[in-house]
Amino acid sequence: MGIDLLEIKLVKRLANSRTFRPLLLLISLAAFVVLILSGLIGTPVGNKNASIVLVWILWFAALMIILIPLGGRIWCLACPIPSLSEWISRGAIVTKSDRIANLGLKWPKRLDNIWMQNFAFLGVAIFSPLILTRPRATAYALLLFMFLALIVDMSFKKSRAGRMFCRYLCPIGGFIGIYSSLGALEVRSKDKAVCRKCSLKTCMKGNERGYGCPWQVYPGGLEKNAYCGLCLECIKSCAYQNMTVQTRMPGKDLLNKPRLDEAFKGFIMLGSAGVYSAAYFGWWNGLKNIINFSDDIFFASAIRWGRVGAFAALLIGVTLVALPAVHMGFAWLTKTLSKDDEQSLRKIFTEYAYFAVPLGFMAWIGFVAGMLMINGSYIISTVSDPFGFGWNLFGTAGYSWTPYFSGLVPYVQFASILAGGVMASIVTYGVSKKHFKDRAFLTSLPVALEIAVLSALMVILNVMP
Amino acid sequence: MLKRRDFLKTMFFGAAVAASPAGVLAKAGDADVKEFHIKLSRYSYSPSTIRVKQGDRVRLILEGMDLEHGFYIDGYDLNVTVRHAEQKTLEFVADKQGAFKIRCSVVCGPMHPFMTGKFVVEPNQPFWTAIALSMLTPFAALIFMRMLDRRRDDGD
Repeated sequence: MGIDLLEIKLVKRLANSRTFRPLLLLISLAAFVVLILSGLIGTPVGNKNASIVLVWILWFAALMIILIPLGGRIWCLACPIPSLSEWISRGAIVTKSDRIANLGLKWPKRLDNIWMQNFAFLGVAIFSPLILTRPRATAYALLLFMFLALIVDMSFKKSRAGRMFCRYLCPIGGFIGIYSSLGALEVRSKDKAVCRKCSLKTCMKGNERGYGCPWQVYPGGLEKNAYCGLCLECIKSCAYQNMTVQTRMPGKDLLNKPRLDEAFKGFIMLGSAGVYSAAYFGWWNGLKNIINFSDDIFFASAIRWGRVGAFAALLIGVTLVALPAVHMGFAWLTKTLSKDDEQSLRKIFTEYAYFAVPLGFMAWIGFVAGMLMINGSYIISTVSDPFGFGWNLFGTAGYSWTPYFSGLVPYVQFASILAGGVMASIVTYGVSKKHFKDRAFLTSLPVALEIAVLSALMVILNVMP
Repeated sequence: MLKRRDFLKTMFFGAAVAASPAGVLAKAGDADVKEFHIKLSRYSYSPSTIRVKQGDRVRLILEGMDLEHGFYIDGYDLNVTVRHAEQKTLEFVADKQGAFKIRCSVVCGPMHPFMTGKFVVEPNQPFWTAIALSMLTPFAALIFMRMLDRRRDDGD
């Protein structure tokens, strides 16, 4: 067990406070509104517009390099996207409301997984050449997410109404969820026995102090981070004050209850990191042409749909076809070496596929670190002139593009990939030990070879031959 | 097999050395130079790969094909801007080995941050070292995990 952060008085006060999260949300919502406005009415030049620079360089780098490793899903605590739906449905911002307005449509059982999030992420990734470069596209995307959250959260419920968009649809929440297993923070019950004996289950039903878990999980039985949004409602509502926020060993719960949809999320993220490295920062002019969907800076009039289709085919081909197919081959080899007929090929495929989670995460860290080192200087100029109107709020608007330690970028990216390879091997060995104790080393070898090959491919893309 | 000294130099010091400025804008004149004619257009360099040997004197003739573009080489910290229909010559000694990204340094359109190419100075030892390490490390991690397990079992 890690350090119980609720032992720290300030943290305990904040976790139990009903004003802390709304305050965070109001701040992030204000920033969100500025970013959307900047996208809609600011300069169409991405490098000079806050909606591009502060979202896709600053926020994304902070999310991957700091927030997820340290706090898992901690971004979800402050994310403004579901704030409006939450406040409107509850009819309250700070105080605990007794009602949650919802149409009461039951969330379909067959969608009780993250497949929708997988496809939503791919959808955003396919249009990323527009979203990452055109401020208006980013603004439209953020508005669309907020609109969908409003509709979905107020229409559907599972066991109760709540963060249905975050749980099942959010393209960002999907990968934050699976990568939060690598985070160093968790919400858990202090004593599982207390939860087993508890007949009140206020963590699910809610009480006068807090709402029932808006993320549709049973907090008392939490065993993995993926679906806990760190909203801290269960800390408030637990009748026995048995829920806490604690530090833990990163990756501890990665292999708890493995699922095929999560396995594919791992492939989607790993494959996307490779495709992005190749298409955005690679040296193949053919690929550069493909991601140039439109010459129009306002993008709306002349999208080359053939190129969109080609990029979609590349992304989907790599993430949903090539990587899973290659992994199936290595899974079959593992099964053959195990000489164990009890484990199905599907189970072996799924559980060993979790190697892609740390490998993909570290590949993304390398990608965003490189982007930050090369293009981070845009942040300095943009904070002074977020709309590109010629303002100079902090006197830094004239700061020119300055790559920082550009010669070190491949080394940083290589170190990330190497660390990802080590973590992926540890995951692989853990799966082998769980199922094939006496043959753990032997049965780990095929997937270790898969990790080695994929790491080498990432090295080719980042360190370059 | 890499020499240990070379390996350490590449992995730990090579990058720091790579950060020092090393090039000059100069007029062509020497016959023993490796010369490349590079066209800069939205959003690519043609050719997109320049390959030379360490110690080569390199002459890059940069020609702007449409708008103003930049030619910045990571690590070498060389930066030249070229306008439409303009030619500029960049001459320098390729004294640092490795592969370095070439990037546009002038905002030239929506895809500007992704206008990249590569400048390779052979022998590209950092690349081959990285490939070798990335291939070997997963197996090394497995061996380490098995050793830990055995030690734990022996302890029991």
